Amino acid sequence: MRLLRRFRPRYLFLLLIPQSVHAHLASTGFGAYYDGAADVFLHPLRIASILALATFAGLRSQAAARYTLFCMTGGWVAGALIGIAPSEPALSILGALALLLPALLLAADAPVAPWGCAVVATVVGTINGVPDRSAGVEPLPMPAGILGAGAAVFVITALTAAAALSIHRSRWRVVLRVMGSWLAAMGILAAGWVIRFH
Amino acid sequence: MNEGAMSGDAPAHPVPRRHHRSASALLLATTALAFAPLAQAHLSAGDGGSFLGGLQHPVSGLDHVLALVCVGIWGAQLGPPALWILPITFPLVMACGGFLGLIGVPLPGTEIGIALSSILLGGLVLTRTRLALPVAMLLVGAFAIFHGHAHGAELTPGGNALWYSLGFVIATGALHACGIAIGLVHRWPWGQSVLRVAGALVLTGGGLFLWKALV
Repeated sequence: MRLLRRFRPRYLFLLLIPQSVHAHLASTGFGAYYDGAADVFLHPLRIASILALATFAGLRSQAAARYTLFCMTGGWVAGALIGIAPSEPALSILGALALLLPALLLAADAPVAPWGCAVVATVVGTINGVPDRSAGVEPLPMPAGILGAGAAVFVITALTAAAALSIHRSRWRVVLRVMGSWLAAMGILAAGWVIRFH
Repeated sequence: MNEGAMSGDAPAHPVPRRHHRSASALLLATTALAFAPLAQAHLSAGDGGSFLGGLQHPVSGLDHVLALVCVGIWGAQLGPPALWILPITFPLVMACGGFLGLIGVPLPGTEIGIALSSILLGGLVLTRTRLALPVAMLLVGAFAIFHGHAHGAELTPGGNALWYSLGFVIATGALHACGIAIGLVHRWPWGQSVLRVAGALVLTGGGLFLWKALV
């Protein structure tokens, strides 16, 4: 019992640290559904975008977090199903913008209504869900892979928004706003980089 | 049901420890997910170099370092909310300047602007000048444009955009944090003298850079 208490849940974050993969598409060996879920973690820009928006929604209110959870997931799945594949530079710029918008909202702690969060989540989710068809990248297998990706997005958003909802001390809100400004700065620089070098 | 959580108002009762643990969990999870880039399908030798390149760029010039640290010191002197708003403003606006530099928008007098930033910020720390928050943000933002533009214009192709910008932002934030840590000594009388000396040194350094830029 003492051993269980010492192994606190907070250390479970270590399980989130991924190992290197050496395939075009994440191959977990557990099937297409889990391959799709793992694929979400192969795009750091998209992960940052989810974290920024989920944190912002959690800091706003429970309603905003709820709307963001379902709209982000739905938008992601819709983006994947639409199947429109813009060119790689356009995809990179859209990805940077999908990070910039929620990060700016988080940095400013903007007073956005829950329906506004829903709109932003739908847009961000759709952009991030668009398949990456750059050279050599295999598309997610339909429909299991897309459902797996949607499930991963749902879980990440839920956990992040829930943690943000529990934050009441203003000091932690400040820390998260600073993180948001850093993410926004990353998005701006990434967009400029793509425009310059692609 | 915790009504305070829904309405955003402060709760009536002290915050339970589980909320602190939740906040810790959020930060730890975020940190872990920052390692997600390890799971890139193609690990190119350039990615690590991009991160180090981004990390190194803000500290590549003493003129940049002086101004970044001085922003943190001045923010500490002004106290909250400037303490954290200035380190939010500077990296954000600096990234905009970097964007302009990257896409090739010219900005005349970049070196002069950078030198002037050290002079003015050093002077503000030396004289312990207190400005209204919007004015302070405007001033810091104006200087940040020059710093960012200089960085953006110097970038070379190759490497990973996200890794580079991550390293860049981390280094910038770290320098601000150093400045804030130094600036916190203003609570003590001896600390105020130390900060005035620091402000004088930054002002002198800025003067030297300005002279170099004009000659």
